[in-house]
Amino acid sequence: MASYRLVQGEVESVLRGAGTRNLYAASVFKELCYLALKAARLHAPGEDD
Amino acid sequence: MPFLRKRANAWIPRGRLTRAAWPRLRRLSQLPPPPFNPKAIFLNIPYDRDFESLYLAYIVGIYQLDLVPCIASGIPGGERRLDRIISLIQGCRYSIHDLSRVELSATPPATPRFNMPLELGLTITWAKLHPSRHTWFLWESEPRRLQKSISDLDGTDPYIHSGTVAGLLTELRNAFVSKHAPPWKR
Repeated sequence: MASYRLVQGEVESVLRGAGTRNLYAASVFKELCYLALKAARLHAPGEDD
Repeated sequence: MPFLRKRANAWIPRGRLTRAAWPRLRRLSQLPPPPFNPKAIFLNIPYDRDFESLYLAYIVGIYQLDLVPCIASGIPGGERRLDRIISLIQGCRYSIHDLSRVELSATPPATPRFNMPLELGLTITWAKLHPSRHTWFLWESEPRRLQKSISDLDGTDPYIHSGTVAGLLTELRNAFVSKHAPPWKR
């Protein structure tokens, strides 16, 4: 859940950077994947559930 | 047996598939299946605003399990959408089919979504043909709804995320039990 909150907090800036409101756009998906990967390295699964 | 031959030929569209094309088709069907990523998960999910938080949860949860999510819109190129989806299914070791939003659309004409069941059908066929290469999982938000929507899948237990991020992350860990995952917490 901690990883999820971390990525969720970055969604607005990702959308702004990609210049779209579509969270499913290819460029946004790629950015979200980078963020999720980074977050996964910081927090173990199940942490703060 | 002229009668049987005539019946069999009825399947072949005249002028399109000549006798000379059969050897080529046979060679194509004998080709080895394309390579696949053993860590990739194809996400068959609805692309709508109401699903955004769960979409985000799938991406985060999958990376936490040391796996990689793939979606149809994530592939660049002008390939036909269905061809892209088929290539994705073939290139992924796993797939998640979230049927929690197979419902009538709010805008008229009210129409059920068939994209996800269609992609599920393609995946089931691929997994039947290559059982060691692909494993599929069903996700739902409500228990017992799957028996009503796709009764042919009776006997397949879907993972129920109850439409919540916490529920989805928990069920992901249950489905893909990872050696890195700590014991499940209540």
